Amino acid sequence: MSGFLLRKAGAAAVVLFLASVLVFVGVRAIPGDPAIALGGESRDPTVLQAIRHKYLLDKPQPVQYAHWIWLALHGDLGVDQRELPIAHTIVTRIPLTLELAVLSMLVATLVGIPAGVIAAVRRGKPSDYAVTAGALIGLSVPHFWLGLLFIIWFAVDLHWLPASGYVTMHHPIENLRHMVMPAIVLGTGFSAVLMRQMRSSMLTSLGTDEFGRDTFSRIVWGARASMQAGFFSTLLALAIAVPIGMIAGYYRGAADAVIARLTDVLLAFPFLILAVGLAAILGPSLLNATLALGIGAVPGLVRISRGETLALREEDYVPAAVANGASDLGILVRHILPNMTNTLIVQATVTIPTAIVGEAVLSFLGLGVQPPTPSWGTMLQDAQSYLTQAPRLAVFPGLAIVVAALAFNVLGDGLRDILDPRTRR
Amino acid sequence: MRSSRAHRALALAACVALALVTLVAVAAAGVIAPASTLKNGGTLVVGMSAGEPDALDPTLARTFSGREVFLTFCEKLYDLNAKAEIVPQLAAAPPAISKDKQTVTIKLRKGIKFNDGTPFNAAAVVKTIQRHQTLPRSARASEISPIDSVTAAGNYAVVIHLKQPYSPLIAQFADRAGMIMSPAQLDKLGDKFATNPICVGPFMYDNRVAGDTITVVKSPYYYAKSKVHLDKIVFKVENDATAAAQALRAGDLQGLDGVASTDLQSVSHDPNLRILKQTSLGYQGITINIGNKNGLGKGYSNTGTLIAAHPELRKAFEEAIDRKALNKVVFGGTVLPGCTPVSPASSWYDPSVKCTPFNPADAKKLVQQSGVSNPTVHYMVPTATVALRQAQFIQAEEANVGIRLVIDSIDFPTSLNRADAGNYETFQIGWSGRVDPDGNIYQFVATSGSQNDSGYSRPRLDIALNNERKATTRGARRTLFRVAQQIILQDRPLIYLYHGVTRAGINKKLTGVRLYPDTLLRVSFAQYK
Repeated sequence: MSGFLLRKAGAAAVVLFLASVLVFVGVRAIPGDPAIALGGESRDPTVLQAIRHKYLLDKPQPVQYAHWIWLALHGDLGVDQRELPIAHTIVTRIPLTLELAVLSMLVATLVGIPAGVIAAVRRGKPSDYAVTAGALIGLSVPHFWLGLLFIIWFAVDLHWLPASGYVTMHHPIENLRHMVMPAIVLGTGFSAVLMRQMRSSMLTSLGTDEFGRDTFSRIVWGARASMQAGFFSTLLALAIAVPIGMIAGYYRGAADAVIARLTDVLLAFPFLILAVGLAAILGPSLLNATLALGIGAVPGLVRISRGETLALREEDYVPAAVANGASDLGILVRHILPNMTNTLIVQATVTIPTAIVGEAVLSFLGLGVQPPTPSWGTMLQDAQSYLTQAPRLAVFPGLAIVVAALAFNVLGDGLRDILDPRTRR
Repeated sequence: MRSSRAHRALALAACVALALVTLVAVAAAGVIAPASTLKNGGTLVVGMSAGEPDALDPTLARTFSGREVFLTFCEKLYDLNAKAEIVPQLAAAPPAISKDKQTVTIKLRKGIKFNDGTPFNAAAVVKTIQRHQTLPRSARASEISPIDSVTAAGNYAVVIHLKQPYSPLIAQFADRAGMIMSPAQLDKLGDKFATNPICVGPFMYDNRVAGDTITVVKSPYYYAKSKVHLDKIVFKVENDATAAAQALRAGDLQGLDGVASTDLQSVSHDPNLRILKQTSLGYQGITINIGNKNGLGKGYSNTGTLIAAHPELRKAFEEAIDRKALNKVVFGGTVLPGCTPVSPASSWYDPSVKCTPFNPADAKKLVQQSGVSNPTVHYMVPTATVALRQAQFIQAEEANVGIRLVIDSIDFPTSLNRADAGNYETFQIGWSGRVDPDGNIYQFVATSGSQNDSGYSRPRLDIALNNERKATTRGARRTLFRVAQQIILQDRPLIYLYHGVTRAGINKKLTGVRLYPDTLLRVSFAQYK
């Protein structure tokens, strides 16, 4: 037992070290001068030089890293631009972050799992489609938009809940009142994922065979950018992640150890952070944004492919195929891959709307399409400021995203029915 | 098997029901015991819409929001009044300037204490100014660079020796350079002064949560305690403009220092709120790279781009833009169109400076006469929703006269980097504005200007600007500023488009809140009705 814990602790240390190096190098690779960002409006060269000197930005990167890791291991994470100690700021945030994470997971689970059960048990009936549509809406609606809507309804119009802020757990009722809307908004996206996965795996185990410009023209034209970002980035992610995941899951051993650790490092970064960082390094354009979104989705898909492969290699037909003289490649391609399509397709249809919204974030940061080229995501971002005046500006791009997600979903269901050997007759 | 599945499904359903009941109960608890908009003991929560303050240290501070927080706990030698005139605050009177204009004497108020109880005197002022000059990373050093030395003359007067005459000095002392810090606290904390800053002020620093709030509490040491009514002021960082406006409407905030034009309708129609309006001292415009080839201060020579080499194309560029339409389409009519670096909010505004009127017909003619077919101009814009909206409008206006504008949207710090390096053709950027017009002009267009991203150099302009720095009478300086603006408007290293108008949202229960031309929300002497 202690050996197991030690090995896991060792692996965790390796992951932490690799993650710290990745963040360090990645942030410095992003174009832009931190001294100017800190230097404010008047860019006095003497001040800029003094800032660089204080934060060791004029030293080579390995020296900067060594200095940082040495202090960090002693608990000193330095001071921020407000001259406040960073370690203190991070530590004081932990209770709030943990509470929000637990509550939103609770919401996601309590909503997603029963919904998935209902949808699976009543497959093909209206309630299945209703629940699935509800899940897709929860998935396709961007959090920032939903959050704003909630604030307008529940805080401003109804005065039921506070619009913002945080109260510590010393006042439990007030604390919960401040947590309700954030937890629900954060939970909706993940609950949709859970619902789809739950439905899919239940279906398998139950033995049954998942500015005065014309808004309309911009929606039509915006489809180009959003589709490319959503569809091709997911395709790219699958093309990279599935082979890697299968190799890790099938061969185990050294290959699996390395791949699993690297995946863990990358999974430590939220998908959007990874995508934004990559897009900043590659430079602003729709192609680079697609690449960044695809690469950003790889770690999650590697994990899923690896998990599926690990399970599937234990099925009876694998040693049977080996006994029949099938090669490894043949087994992977002809036996394992087809049985994974179910899960992969579900994950893909869930990734596409995420990628579409991810493209919106990248374009807003100037890392994707350049104005005036529209994309649904940038239209949604622009519409956010007009939410109280002209809600229709947000409704139609959002609707377009939902419809596209639904379309990919139905496509995915159809593809699964055709490709999944278990549902074939 | 079936019965245990049914059991599990039932259990799940029960959990969902329980969760829903809890949710409703929690919401109901809020309705029955409604959240009070007035915190106990008269606390005011103010939303800061212009970003988070950086270090609360007058020597190091560089943000607009920081200046707003300083107003409550860190008074200055001089301050602004409602007419943007400079009036004494910690000083006792306007400064006395010697005949050779290189010695400035400032008399100080007597009997004042810092918020740690130590006395305010000339030695404290000297220590502060010397810190501004010598601390590494000091953001004030360049603002007061003409100061040679500063000494105390007795307990309540300081004498400042200048290297050359410098009229904008007093305007600098009406900002962060004039904020006097407690010497005892400086000795204790050194360059960590921002962790517990102590000055003279109606309020004193209490605590700060990084990225979230700054709290100040009423000071028992202030010399005019009777004017202070609130117990506590909490400054809240608001990153999203729409969410901030809704928080104001919901009563979470009692003041918001800037309401976005898109939220104005919902805020102004709210019966519990009122709007304070103030035109800013700054401007928004377009900087054109004429001579910045190698970066700031590395020698300027014409870059050779179309817009740099053809002055008539710059004229066409300006004539293509309808500023009134820009105001209406992009800002819903909420900004003030303008064409000069000095805003009408400033007491120095000069209506006799003539603008280039909107004239697309003449612009088309100039484009054809330039002999360049299909001129293309690159337009660098910092990434922000409103900025991009404006850029697309300009793009459409230029297309009307035959100029093809290519928008390059870059994140803000990188865009500043590129502007300083000369790596751009045109740049959509503004300036927050200073009380003295020198602060809106010199550093951008003088040959030795520290932020001359345009790479513009005109000896005639340099003479006018250097003279306005030496002149001490208002009339002489006005004339020199008029000459300077006329030169700038003719050569167009910058095209000025409009002056921002700040609208602050205040809860009607609050009185005594002021908004002066520096557009900083002044809440120190506010009180609840």
